[in-house]
Amino acid sequence: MNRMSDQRMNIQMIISGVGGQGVLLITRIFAQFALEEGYPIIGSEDHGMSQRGGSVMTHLKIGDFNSPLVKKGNADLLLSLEKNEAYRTLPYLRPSIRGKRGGLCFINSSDPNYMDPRVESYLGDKGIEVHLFPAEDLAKEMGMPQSINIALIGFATAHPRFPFPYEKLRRAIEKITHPRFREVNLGIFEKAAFEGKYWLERQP
Amino acid sequence: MEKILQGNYAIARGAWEAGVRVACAYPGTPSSEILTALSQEYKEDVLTEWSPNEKVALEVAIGASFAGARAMASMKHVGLNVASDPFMTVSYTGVKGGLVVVVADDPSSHSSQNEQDSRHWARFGKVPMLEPSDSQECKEFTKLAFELSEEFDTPVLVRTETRVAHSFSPVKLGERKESHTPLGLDKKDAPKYTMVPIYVRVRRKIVEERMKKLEEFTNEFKYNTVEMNDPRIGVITSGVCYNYTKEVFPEYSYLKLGMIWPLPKKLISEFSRKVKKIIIVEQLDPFLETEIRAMGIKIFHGKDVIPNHYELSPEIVERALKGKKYKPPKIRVHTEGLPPRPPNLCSGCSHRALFYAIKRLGLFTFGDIGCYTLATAPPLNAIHSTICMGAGVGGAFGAMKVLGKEGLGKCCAVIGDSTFLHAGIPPLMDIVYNKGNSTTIILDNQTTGMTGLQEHPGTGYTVTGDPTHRINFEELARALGVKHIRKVDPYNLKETMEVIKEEVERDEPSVIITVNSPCMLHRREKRKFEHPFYKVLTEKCRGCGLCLEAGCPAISWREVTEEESLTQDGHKRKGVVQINRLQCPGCGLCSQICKFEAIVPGEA
Repeated sequence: MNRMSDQRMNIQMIISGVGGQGVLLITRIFAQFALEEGYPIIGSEDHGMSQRGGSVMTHLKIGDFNSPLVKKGNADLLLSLEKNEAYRTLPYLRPSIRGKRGGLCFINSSDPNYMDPRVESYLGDKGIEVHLFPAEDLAKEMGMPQSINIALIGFATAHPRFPFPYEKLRRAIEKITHPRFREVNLGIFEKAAFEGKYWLERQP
Repeated sequence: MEKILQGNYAIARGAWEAGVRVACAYPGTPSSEILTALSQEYKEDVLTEWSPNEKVALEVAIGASFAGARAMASMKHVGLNVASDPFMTVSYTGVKGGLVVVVADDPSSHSSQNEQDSRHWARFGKVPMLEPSDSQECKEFTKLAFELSEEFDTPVLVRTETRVAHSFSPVKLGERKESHTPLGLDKKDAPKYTMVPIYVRVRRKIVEERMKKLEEFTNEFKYNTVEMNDPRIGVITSGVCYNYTKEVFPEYSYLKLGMIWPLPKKLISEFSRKVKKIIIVEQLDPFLETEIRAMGIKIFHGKDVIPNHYELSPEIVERALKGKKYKPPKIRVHTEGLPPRPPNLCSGCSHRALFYAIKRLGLFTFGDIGCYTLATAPPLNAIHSTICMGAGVGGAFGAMKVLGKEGLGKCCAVIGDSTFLHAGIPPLMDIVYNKGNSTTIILDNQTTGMTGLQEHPGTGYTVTGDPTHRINFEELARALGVKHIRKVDPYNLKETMEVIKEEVERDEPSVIITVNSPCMLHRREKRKFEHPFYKVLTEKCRGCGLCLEAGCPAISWREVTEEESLTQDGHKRKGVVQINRLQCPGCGLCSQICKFEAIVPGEA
């Protein structure tokens, strides 16, 4: 059951991490965004065993889609809260085809050299952009180590191709996060977005 | 108003809008959130309960229906096996207030002991079945199910599976409408409600007539939809398989079945005449395919190319139907070297301590269904069989029956608190009644852990958090006639091993109950450990790896360099273990395992 909307947005994304890292919260933030904007949305969450420290991955599609699952090689965006889970979900990213740029990937990692340079250059050849960001360090520094998720999406908003506008995402975070942690989370989001700009400027 | 809802929450919403009065369930992935949603968001209007098991859940719902209320029981696929006895017969009696049974399948067995296809229950039980494909349909179909139930005097099945139950999409919300059926019990109507042979035969015919009427109805049913596009290929499908196929092949024509039993044969025939070739896309068994083939309709593709096991996905459907022409965009990244992340017992979990004791004693362990099933994985390797809820208790008795005294000291049964109350009481009764000598260990973590911490009759609280009577496992076992009942603190390794050893060697029935061992994720009950965490005295650690055998997520191994290759007292070592302080809750199991006193309490 798809709804048509005036403005078009067609985004397929994967959010990955480990149980307990807040993958589901990110999913809900984007879902809230889509709802407010009147975009159709469909997606799928992991439950059950994955809550016991296992791999967690959610699929999220905004736009005119039928299936809740993203096909491998089709994701426009990959957000990963954990570097090994990032590796595991890289195959979902869309390579550049027929002049269209490849997928965009944001990974929480404080080690800028964690990715095998061969993988990095291979992804580059495929038109895929990978950005590492120490979301965990920033969240810890701000006194909320569990808010890696918020820090990572804050960082991502600094990227010119990240399709979600900062202000609207901020409103979604305001709505979705627990009132008790709202202020801190918004602070983390803001700081991450600010540092993101700086971070990206330093990229080659 | 529109809201983004998970499939299960949408089912809860649909039931609420339909005026449901009673909702019962036993938790089971991927169905648990249905009752959670009803008990949290709609508790003013709906009487909700976690039942001890699915059979009881359905029976309570049936009683509520006979008293005129709209009632629902929800469960996972294997739950319907447990509830199958009342299910098969309530099909005969029919209902008074609308009665809906939600059954959630788990293709690929993400969190289950098998991968059965629940659609067979509809055919077997002669009950209509609806299958939604997204959250909006979850809500609509559940509402409709109550109406159909009253209109056709039948229970109605709503079938979901993981990708419908746990997917989310926007849902248009409606208002609650109370049912028109008056509450109250009717005068005696034995031919309808009392299934003794003479009346069974009467109802048996009525069931057949009802299914005929339903078949006429479903030919016109508004959720059996035809979408004519390219007439060369027509896909017959239902549920999430429709979404998968439609996304990959939007150009094909579709017959999407909202009601998958009984089948709209007329509609299917008409559709098959409108298109050149028929493809059937369905998950698990060739249920639709078998029926449609039996109608004499030629099938171009079905289970010849679509896998009959594991869950489908848009990619699998695309690959299956395109064959060699399938050339997807590919990112080749070697993921083989990554650390596998299977689900594990939490750090500090009381099950780990207990299973470590069992492992050391070398017992053959008849396991059961719950978090503790994870103890079968290496390095614990401490569960030797798992069948279904309750099967561990009966299984150990069966093994001991044939082994006789030879079996003493060699095996035991383990079962969780919630699972014991679900299906463990009758087999324990059997052990005593039939003079067995097996040992049953009840792992009491004071919650239903694996499915997300639901209450049960042994926790002392109802689903809405009201305090209630709390079952005392010791008294219960004693009432069944068990004379040897021991309580152990699983975190005391030595004592636990001694008690288990004594009881498994005893030539009489025995029960061991773990105490002060709540789930580490429990919100209400917390085990207070003596020390905040433990640490490794690196200078003493010989790197023997014995503590790693417990599989605690907080302990890891690192290789040492040349200058670290000797312990303080001069023993050669290849590596040492380390404890992640943030993950360690201080249960102290590892320090009891270590033979070299290298793991000691840390100070906060």
